[in-house]
Amino acid sequence: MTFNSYYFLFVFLPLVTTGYSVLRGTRWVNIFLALASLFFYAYAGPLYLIPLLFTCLFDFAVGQKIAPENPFKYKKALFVFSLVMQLGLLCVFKYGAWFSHLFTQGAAFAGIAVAAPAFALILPPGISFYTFHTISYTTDIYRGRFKPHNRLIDYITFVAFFPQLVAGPIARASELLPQIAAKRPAVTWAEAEIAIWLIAFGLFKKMVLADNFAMLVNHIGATLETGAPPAGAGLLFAYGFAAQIYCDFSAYTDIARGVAKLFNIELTRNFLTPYFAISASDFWRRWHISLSNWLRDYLYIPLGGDREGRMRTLRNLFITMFLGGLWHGAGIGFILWGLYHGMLLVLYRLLKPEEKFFRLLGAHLGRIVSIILMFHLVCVGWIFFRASSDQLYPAFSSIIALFRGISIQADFLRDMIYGLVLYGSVLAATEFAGYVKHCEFVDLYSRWHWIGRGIAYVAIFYGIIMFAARQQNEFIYFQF
Amino acid sequence: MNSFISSFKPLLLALALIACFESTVFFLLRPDDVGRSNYFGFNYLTPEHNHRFIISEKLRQLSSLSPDIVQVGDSSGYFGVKPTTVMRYLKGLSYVNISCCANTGYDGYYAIADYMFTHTRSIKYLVLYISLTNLPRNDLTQGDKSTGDVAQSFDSVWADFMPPSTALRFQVTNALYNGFGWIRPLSEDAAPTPYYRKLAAGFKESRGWALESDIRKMPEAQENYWKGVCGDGIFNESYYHANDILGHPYSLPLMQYNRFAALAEKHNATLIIMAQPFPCSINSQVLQERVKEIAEIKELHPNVIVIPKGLFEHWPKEYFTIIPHLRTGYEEANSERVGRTLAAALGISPPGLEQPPYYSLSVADQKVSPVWQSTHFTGKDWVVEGAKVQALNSDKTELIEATENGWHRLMANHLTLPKSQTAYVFSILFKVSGARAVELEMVDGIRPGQYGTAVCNPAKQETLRTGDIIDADMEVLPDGWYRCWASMTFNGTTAGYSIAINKDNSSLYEGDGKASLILREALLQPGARVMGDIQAQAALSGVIAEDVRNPTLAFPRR
Repeated sequence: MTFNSYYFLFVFLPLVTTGYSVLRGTRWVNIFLALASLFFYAYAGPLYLIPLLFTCLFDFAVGQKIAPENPFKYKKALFVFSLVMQLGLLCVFKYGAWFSHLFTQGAAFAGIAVAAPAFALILPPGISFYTFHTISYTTDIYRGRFKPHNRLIDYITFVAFFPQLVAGPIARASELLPQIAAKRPAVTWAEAEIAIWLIAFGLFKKMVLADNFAMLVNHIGATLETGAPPAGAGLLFAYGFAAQIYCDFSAYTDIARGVAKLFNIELTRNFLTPYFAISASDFWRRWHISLSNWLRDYLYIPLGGDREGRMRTLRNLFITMFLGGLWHGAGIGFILWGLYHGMLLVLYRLLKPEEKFFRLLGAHLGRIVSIILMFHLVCVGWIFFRASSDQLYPAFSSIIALFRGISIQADFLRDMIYGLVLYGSVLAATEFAGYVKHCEFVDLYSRWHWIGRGIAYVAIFYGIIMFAARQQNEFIYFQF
Repeated sequence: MNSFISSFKPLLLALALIACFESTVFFLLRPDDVGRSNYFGFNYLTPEHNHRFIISEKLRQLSSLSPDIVQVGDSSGYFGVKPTTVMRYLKGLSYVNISCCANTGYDGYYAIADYMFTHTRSIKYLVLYISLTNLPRNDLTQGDKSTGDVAQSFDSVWADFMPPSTALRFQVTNALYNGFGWIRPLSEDAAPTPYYRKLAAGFKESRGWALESDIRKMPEAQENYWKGVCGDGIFNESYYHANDILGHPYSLPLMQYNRFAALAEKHNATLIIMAQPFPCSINSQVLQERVKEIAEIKELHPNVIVIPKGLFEHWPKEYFTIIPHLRTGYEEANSERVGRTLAAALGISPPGLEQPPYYSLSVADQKVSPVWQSTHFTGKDWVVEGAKVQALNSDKTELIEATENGWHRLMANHLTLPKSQTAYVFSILFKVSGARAVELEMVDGIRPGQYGTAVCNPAKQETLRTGDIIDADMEVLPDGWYRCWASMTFNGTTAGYSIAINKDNSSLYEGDGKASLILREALLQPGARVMGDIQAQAALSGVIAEDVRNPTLAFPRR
């Protein structure tokens, strides 16, 4: 069930919010929320519940055993075992088929015919997200930063909470579990209004912007696959996908936050006008914030962070970003994307170009140049992330062709640029409005006059009616 | 309550504004349910799929005809049943053909039937017309992407709640996506190509029937096709079963017939399940199982009629292009069969009509002098474009493509025809070099008129046709020669023809200066098909035709 389906919006969500309102304040409320969440997840396939419930039960039990106050002797061994189990499960589902394929290919390259075991496991949606939820739980308990929770049903609700189950934001147990365990007050009308706005704007971003950008990207991608794309096609591909993935993912986060608000639960923010970043580290403070914070706290800092000298810091950055890329999925593109961002972080840390621009060009112009440079560097990274093996080389060669003055296909470029400008102008305007106020566009809602808010709803309604893509597209991050 | 109102003021304002606008649109435009649906994508730079266009136009146009009988199903019925012929046997009952394509799925057929029932109170009979190859099975339950979700768009609770302004989507997206005409010319409507616009414009007149437009394969390739598709694997009992949630198997045909019968019952109508004649032999066990299901459904629902009783009726392969499609010219005989059998099933006494010729297209008579003939392609009749013409000897001319980008063709314009509203067949004798094909183009001298092309490709052993071409094909002749022919009905008495070199199914390309056609003769004759076509000769044999017309006769195997 996806957030942009009729069944979710007009059947599931109203039923669950009504049930929640009726049961709120009773001990049944989290049982109800857990069951609703499991139903939501099982809608994609009941078998997916097996790894989810196994993870929940296993880590809940491990959490009880490794708490500092528990006299159990082999806490470290059990903690390591739990990490191996969780990451092992993730690897089997996510990378099993890929490794098997690579192994067969490698053997074939060496002239050995190997019948590798056929891995045909279907990736359970959101496994990367809920694995990180549960790792945060056991790690925080092991470190003594969080006490194990005694109520299994609260724990299952935390891991499986349907608004954030399949594509985050990645919730820490320390942030979300106390909210779930607490007796929550009724949602006020004012809170409900904000929740509805978040959902409405998220739907607009997904159905009108992300899905239409997706069509443009597919269109350009098909041209790249011909092997002889017009000059500049790769750049348009990168711009289009940059817009698509941002609208898609931030839309999911907005809807998730809005839906969670209806249960009086605050989910963490995931984006903050990321394409206005002035440096690589600034980008990661604004893009997929819950993942970058998670990687920082549970990987980068345990590796030593920036405490052990420059070379170690740079190494740690590289490893973190490599694993961050790999977390997204099995594929050389994700690894290259992670390494590329690792390289950007290292280079920005060494060269500090944004500081030079500020010094040379002044605060305003320096900022603009830094933003433009960083945006384009991020866009190049998106080519690794999105392009298939047939598209990768033509994408880069078509960008290089721009500098060689090769003749361009005017009609193709006109059509693609017009499409990107048409939808991009809406995105740019809303992002800029958020950026100047140091927040996201959705956050501006509470500052508007009520008539402005009403008009915004009308605009969203007719935007969706007129321009929303009619085929239902899944959110990109579902695959991760 | 005050808190509620103050918090929801923006939403209430939005609802009020939306309600005002929607009411205005409703009262000013009165959009129909097809226009108000989400069926079309109207995506940027993405033409609509022709199946969607056909379905929506049929629903829009044919629901207004207040039919007594509605036919839904796959493309066997779309191309194979002419309501105008069927109605001659039904003594005043009105028949419409809303069949489209197998990829609509049974859910789609059901949604179309339900839409028709709810929008047309006159329906007394629902005909589910299908090819045996498309009997209900798992992969034919839901529609695919090209036909879209017919059920959700037209036959769901969501469809009922679509605001009237949804009907403005085409105008709004068309204007914005084309820069109000500044970036690209505005589109006229949702038709994917002008051909489909013209096709849909004729739906009311044809009551939903259209001419098939399949690829013509040369005899050897066609025989290979039949060998491939009519083998043992064509039917498999496992196709027709699925398991319920508890793992119990159930019959998919039974389940689907049950749905359709219940739908007809709900609207006090009769369900008629009708199978298209079939070109292949069939495993009797599988067929027996299907016949048993039919018997079962008839027991459950007295409002079900099945034609023919055993579902299976064999017609020779020569009458078909592919398993579910009858070749142009045989749809008349099939429609006659549908009309006759329906009349018998409904208790309507036969009207005593004179039976039309079995094969309905006229054949060019070789004994009659052609309307026009050319053996000298350098003569005054011909205009050359993007090519060089040179006479090789007294009866052979070579057309060599130029190196420029564009057409490479010979055109004969302003030819005078003896009669308007008549079919003429244009044929040429040719040889080809350099991996090329030949394209015949035919155009009416008056506007609006008919237009079509046929591409004869010796390398692929196939002929493609587009537009208003009635039929086209290619024959192998001795010494590497081929005859390529195409026929079209002309509205007026002037015509234009061209012979173009075609590369990779494109007539506009950059030539290599070498590839060529060698031409010997071009002929224009009255008729819709040329004699000499081996398949045509076989198919036109009176014995076969008579045999099929009267199925009690033993069918002679050849």
